[in-house]
Amino acid sequence: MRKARLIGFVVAILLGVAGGLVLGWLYFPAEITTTSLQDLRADYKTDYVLMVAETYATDGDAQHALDLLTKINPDNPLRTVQQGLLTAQQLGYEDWEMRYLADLEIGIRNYSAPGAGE
Amino acid sequence: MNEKRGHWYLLTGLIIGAVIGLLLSITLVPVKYTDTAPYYLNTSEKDIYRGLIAQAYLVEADNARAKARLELLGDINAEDALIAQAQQLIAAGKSESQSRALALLAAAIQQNAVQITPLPKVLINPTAEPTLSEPTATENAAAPTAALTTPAPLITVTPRPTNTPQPTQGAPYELAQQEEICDPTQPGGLIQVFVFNRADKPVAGVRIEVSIAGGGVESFYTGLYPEISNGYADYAMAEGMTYNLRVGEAGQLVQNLSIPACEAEGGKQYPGSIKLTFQKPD
Repeated sequence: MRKARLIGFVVAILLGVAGGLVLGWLYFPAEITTTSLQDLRADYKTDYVLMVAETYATDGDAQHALDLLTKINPDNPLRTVQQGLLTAQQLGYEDWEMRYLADLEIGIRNYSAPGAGE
Repeated sequence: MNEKRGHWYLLTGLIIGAVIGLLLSITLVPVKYTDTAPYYLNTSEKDIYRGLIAQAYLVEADNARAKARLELLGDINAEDALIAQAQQLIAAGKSESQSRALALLAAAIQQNAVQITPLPKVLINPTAEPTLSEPTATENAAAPTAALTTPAPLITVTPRPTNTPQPTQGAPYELAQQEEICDPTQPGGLIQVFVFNRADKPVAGVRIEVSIAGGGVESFYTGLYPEISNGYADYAMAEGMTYNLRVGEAGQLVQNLSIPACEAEGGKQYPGSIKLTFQKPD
């Protein structure tokens, strides 16, 4: 009987922890203004990449573009551009926008700095 | 005896567990947000996003799109946020081009009539085709279905954006103060213009027109030097020339402006500047 009560107590604590976590995540979430560019939705990321591409198109600074893309994907910024191209196609970006993105993809790929992607 | 204790221990366990769970959700395992909007970015990354919006604006010259993008950041006053960021960049000695872009976008927001000419592209090794490989990430993207076009080489210059004159609405600006500035430590030969509204607040994006007797007309805008004032603009005069200046479309014409001759200690002469302060009348 004593053992059953102990097991019941532990189970009750575990259920309480689960309930507390759900309660905390749903009703008392952490400060929401701490998210980073990596957490943006795919369409916002694509718009971000487009803006990077437009900046790159006017200054030709691949390192600067790379630094900005690293904010989205620190491990593989080139993949960020490729992902942006795919999403842009899906979302029906205009030709001139696709061209900016394509230019950025080429520029980053040709850039020989370490971490530029494969 | 034991049987009379009832099941309160279960409730006790639940309460203890709930408290532990709440603490964990706040400290060790806080909720992780994904697929968020720019509004939820932290402050420093909002600055990055805002800077990119301004630089993209120089390329697209699309006021509506820039505004829509800024709205995503949820700034209470987008114009103030742009100007503050521009001033921070200047103070930190960082990207002057971005600070100007931010100031220009602030001016465009303040005065909807302001339009800029988009920056042209520079030549960027457009030789190879872009490669599209299927990403490993599981974001909402489909496989490519169409080939991309090869980017075409374009011109290789990077001129500054030029403003297209637009009508200024409301009462005309009037000259409130005119003074000659003789300071040998400052560059001379400038017409320094400060524009304020009725509430003494500097106004960015105001068109200023300078004309030469029997010559052409040039125009420029306030707001490109937020490090001095949002309502500031200047014009470099040429030696021996006389200029007329007007602020806004129907503002008061200030005539016969020329480089003032200042005298340093020892009688040596050097070029001074002219400071003009304009304000909308009450």
